[in-house]
Amino acid sequence: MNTSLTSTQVFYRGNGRVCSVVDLNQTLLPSDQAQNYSCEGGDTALLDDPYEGELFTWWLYFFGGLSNADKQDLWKVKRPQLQAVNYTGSIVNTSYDDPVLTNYSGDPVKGKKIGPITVQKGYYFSSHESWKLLEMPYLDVPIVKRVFDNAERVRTCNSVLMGKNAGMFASVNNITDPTTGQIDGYLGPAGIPSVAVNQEQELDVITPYSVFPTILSNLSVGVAWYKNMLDARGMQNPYGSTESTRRDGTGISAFVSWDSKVTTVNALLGGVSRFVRAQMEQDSIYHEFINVTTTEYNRVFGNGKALSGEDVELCLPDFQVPVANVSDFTMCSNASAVSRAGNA
Amino acid sequence: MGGWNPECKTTNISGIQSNLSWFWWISTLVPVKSYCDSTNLGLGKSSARAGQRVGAPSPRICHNADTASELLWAVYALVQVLHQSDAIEFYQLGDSWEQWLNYTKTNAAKVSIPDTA
Repeated sequence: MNTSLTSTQVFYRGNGRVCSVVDLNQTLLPSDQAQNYSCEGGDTALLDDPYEGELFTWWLYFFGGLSNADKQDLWKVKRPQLQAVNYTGSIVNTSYDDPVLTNYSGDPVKGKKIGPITVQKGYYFSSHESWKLLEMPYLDVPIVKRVFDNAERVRTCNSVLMGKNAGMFASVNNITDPTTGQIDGYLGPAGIPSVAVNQEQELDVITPYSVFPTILSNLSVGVAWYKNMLDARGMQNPYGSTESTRRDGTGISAFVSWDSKVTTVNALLGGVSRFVRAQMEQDSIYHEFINVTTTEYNRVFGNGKALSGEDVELCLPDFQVPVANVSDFTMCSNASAVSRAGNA
Repeated sequence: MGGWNPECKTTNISGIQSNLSWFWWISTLVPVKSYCDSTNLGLGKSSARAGQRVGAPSPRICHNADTASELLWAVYALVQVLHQSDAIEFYQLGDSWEQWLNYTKTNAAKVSIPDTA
């Protein structure tokens, strides 16, 4: 009996397509002949985003054992999703259930104008979409750094232009229902609608971790926004920052999560891309990463194409979360700090 | 509005920096879960499946590329740092994680299954 090897698709589904989620039978070994890998949602449920999902594309590109043709196809499939869009300072409605174009206070949106500022179109333009910058040395590519610096101009200034808004937006857990102690679901669609693919968003809740890309671009401005959100009632707890708060101060998510906490700490320390860069150089893949990334971003943003708004200053917060019916956590109130100091 | 409180360390940024170890820093990018289940709603945020709750009835389990992507490069960074250490236990720990990374290279895109002829 001769034994040979058959290569079976797991995440790579051919023609440059990468599955988002693969189902398998975990009672069988990965190489069991009876094992079956299926792409949940079918072969059209692809991981082809130009955001944090791109990190997996790179893993397959460098280490997946793909042919040169397959590696080129990875980028062909992803290419349409990398788009430029100009932020013009126009603010769409800030309440997901309000059909009228109003700001947070209920007033009609005024025609304040900042920009245009050219950015990479977001899925929601949630801050988490910049996660890839924390891990791989994207910012070594000049055009990428310029585009993402512009993103933070938009992220900070949009939050000011909205009016009566103390923070910024990212996909995050909703507030806790005080009567049940349960979280009211997950708010995925939270970002900046006017520069996003998906413009149906929920913008009543802000989260401290939304600052992490801002910190990567400008530490001082990022930390100012961070503090502004942590200053809100209940936004500090014995485990550090709290998940999220309503912009009107009427509720918080009494919860902590990996995404909403550690991304910020990691950004404060500069991310881990310097270590990844060093290892990529050792593995002789760094220059290919730079070349491919430069090519892909130049297709959209470079080679003489205009990149507007690079002279716009980042915006600082001009509003604080109102004091409403939320109390500070017992161990984190000013009163408890004074009490401990007195007992010391 | 709240000021800095010594038990609420998130506003003490300089304190955070001075107290962190390099290894912990790297570990901050390793997601808690590498598999998806009905309780982990943060997975695949930017994919076409954004916001969708994913149930994985036993014994089948779903492996999420989006979460894996964040994990893999974090471990890649970790291995680089551990291999710079003069401490043998850290260096060997780097070797072990490198073995894991090498394993993922054999089954991320495709997996080889023996067949009989």
